Amino acid sequence: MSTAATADASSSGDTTEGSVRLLTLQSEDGEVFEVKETIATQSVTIKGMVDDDCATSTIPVCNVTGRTLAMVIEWWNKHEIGAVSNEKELKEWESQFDTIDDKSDRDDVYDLLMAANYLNIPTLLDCCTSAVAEAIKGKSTDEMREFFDIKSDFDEKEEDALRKENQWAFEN
Amino acid sequence: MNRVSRGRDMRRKGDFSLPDDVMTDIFLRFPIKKLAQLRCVCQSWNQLITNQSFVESHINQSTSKACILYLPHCLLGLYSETQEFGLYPKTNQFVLVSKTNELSLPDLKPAKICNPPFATELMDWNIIGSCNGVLCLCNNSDRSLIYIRGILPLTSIQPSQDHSVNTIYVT
Repeated sequence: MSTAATADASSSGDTTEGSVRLLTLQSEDGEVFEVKETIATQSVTIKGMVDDDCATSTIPVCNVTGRTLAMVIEWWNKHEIGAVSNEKELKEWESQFDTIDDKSDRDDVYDLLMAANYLNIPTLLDCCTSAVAEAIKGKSTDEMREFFDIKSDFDEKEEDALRKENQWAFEN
Repeated sequence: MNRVSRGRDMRRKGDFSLPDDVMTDIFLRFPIKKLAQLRCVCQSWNQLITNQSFVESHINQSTSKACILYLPHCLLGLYSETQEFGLYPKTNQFVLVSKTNELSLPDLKPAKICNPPFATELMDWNIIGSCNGVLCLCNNSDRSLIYIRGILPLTSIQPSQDHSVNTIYVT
């Protein structure tokens, strides 16, 4: 652990685990997590709070449920610098995000995307947007509407015109 | 991912609506052909994809990778921000020809557009050059120019009387 973190922790007098300062995060539904500062600052939002000395009490993580926050923390733990020596292992673990096979996968990725966006976690955001892009790559217009739960809001004339303009993209 | 039952659901069941900046991140991963399909999904996607700032971002991203545009009559134009090449088919293989070298294309996966919207209009055109993703073609017979820019509509202009090159911006 970096000496900077140690010094910071001893001067602020916050909860520590060994020499590591712990931050307290509270999910929208009230679940409380204690997370090492060195891990949680993978979130640009949280890092900003720490830098501004605003992370001394419980940090409310609005719009993120405890279940999702637990997944985010798992991501942080796996991606802590120096924590995973085996690059291959990390890639394998990350590959679970590559496929969105069913509804629950889709919902998990959605929740993670919203959390990654809110907390500004670039690596997680990148992984999840890539998963969504992969999932819709081969989908037809109707299948995409189904995936995103979108109803077409074009009137018939508009849709026909747009289809005609982009006809080439639908041909093999 | 673990599948413990979901806590309080914060959104309408089945909803997958994401903020525009997240959708932009997703859309930027697609080639133009897929974007043209995505435009037909709903109004907001169509607006997002044809939005000037999205187009700029997509161009900046794709020009660093190099794009290949298929033209009929054995001519393929490859354009990137800094270099221009001609790309010609040669015995079932495409050969990339620059001013100095002939390069084979083992690693290049041409994003071939089989039926570009303007196929029939490009019978007799030469690539003049490209800049910021705008490709300029010149007609061999009447010297008119066309400019092509990504997913936005094709624009063509007739030559001026003295055949000087006109400058237009595709918007």
